Amino acid sequence: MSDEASATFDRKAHWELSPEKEAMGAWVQKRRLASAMREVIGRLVQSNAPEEELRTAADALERYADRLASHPRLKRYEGFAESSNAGDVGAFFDQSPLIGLANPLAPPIRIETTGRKSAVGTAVFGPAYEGPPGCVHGGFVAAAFDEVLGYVHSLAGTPGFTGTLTIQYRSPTPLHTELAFRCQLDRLEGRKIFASGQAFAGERLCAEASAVFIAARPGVFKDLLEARQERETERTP
Amino acid sequence: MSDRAERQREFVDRWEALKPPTSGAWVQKRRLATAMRRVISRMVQSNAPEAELRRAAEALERYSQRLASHPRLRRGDRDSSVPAEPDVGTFVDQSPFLGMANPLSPPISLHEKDEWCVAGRVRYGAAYEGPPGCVHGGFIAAAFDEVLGFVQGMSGAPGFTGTLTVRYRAPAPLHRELTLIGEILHVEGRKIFTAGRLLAGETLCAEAEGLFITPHPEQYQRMVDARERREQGP
Repeated sequence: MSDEASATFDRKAHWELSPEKEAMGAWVQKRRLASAMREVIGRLVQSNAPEEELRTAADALERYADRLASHPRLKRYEGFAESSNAGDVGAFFDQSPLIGLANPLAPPIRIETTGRKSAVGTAVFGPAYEGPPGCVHGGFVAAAFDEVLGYVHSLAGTPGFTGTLTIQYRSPTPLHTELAFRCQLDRLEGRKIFASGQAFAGERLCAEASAVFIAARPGVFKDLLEARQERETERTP
Repeated sequence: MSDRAERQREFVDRWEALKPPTSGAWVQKRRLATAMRRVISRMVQSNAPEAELRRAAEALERYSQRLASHPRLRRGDRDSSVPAEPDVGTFVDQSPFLGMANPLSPPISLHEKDEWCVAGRVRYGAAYEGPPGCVHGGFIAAAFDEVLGFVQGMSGAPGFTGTLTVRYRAPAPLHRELTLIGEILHVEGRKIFTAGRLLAGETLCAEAEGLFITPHPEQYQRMVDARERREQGP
C-alpha cells in the first residue's frame, strides 16, 4: 500500500461502509452466521441448558471450527469478494470487534455522522456484555467510546492511534436498551487530535469520555501491515 | 475474623470459581464456549463458501431457539453443578473478559500476586483486531477495566468504576501472550485507587489508572432487584 493509500486508510468512509454497504453471497451468510452466533452467546450465558444438549452443541461447533480452518484465509482487504473490488476495506470494518456485522463479538455498534465534526454510535448490549447486575460492563462502555471517538478523530483527515482515553462513569449503563455514544472532534494541536463524547440511555447521562489521538507518521500503517503479513505467513490458523 | 478480612476471604473464593469444574453441564458449557471462540476466530479470517456458511447459520439459528426454551440461569440457583451467586462463581465464569463460559471472553487468566496485586495472561485472536495485526484499543481499555475491577475487590469493599484512564504506549500484538498487571495503590474512604500495565514481553504497551467507588450496599441490591424485575417481566 502506498503512503497515499495508507493516509486514506481509516477515513470515515471506511467506518460507514460496514453497515451501509450491501453485502453479497457468502458475505450475507457470514453476517447471518455472526448474528446467529451473537444470539446463541446471549442465550448461552443465561441458560440452564442440560449437559447432554450442551455436549452435542460443543461437538458440532468443534467440528465446524475444524472445517472452517480448511478454507483459504481471507486476506485482510478482501471481502465482499463477489463484487471483486479487491482492496475494498468494507470487509475489514465488517470484521471489527465493535462495529462489524460479520464479527460475533460486536454488539454491533452502528456509527452515523451527525455533523462535520461529530458522530453518534448506537448499540443495544445483550446479556453476554453484563458487568454490574443488569448493566453493561464498564469495559465495553470504554471500548465503545474508543471506537466512536476513533471514528470522529478521523474526521480531522489525519488518521492516527489512540494516545490517551479517559472514561468517567456517571450512572449505570443498562443492558437491553438503546445507548447513544455522542462524540465530537474538539481541536487539533500539532499531531494531537482531541475528541470527547457522552453516552446516554434515553435522556440519562451514563458516561463521559475524552481522548487524545496521535496522528500516525507516514508509513506507519504500511509497516504494521507488512509486519502482520510476515506473521501471517508464519502462522497457521 | 474482622469484617474486612471476611470480605477479603469471600473475594479470594472467586479464584476457586475460575478453576475448571470437574463434571456436569458446566464443563460442557465451557467447552461449547471454547468451541464458539474458535469458530469466531476462524470465521473472521476465513473465505468459507456461501453454502457452508448458510448451513452453519441455519444450524445456529435452530440452536438459539432451543437454548431459549430452557429455564434461565438464576444467580441464586444452587440446584445444579452451576455455581451461583452469592458464590459469584457463575458471575466470574460468565464475565465477557475472564469467563471461561462466555464466548466473548479471550479469556484473560488471572492469578493473585499478593494481597494488593493481580497478574493476568491473555492471548488475543484475530477477532480482536484493531490496527493491522494489533489488539483493538477498545479491548485494551476493556481489559484494564476488568483487571483493575478485579483487584480493587481485594480491598474488601468492591466498588464500581468511577474513572478509567488508559495511556497507549506501543501497539499490542495479536496472537502473542500478553501480561496484564493490576494493583491497588491506596484506599481513601469509599475511593479505591488502582493502576495497571499491559506488557508484550518487556515492551510496555499501555498503562491505566482506575478510580473505583464503593457503592452503598442498598445501591447494589437495588440493581439486583431491578434486574430481577426486568427478567420476570413480559
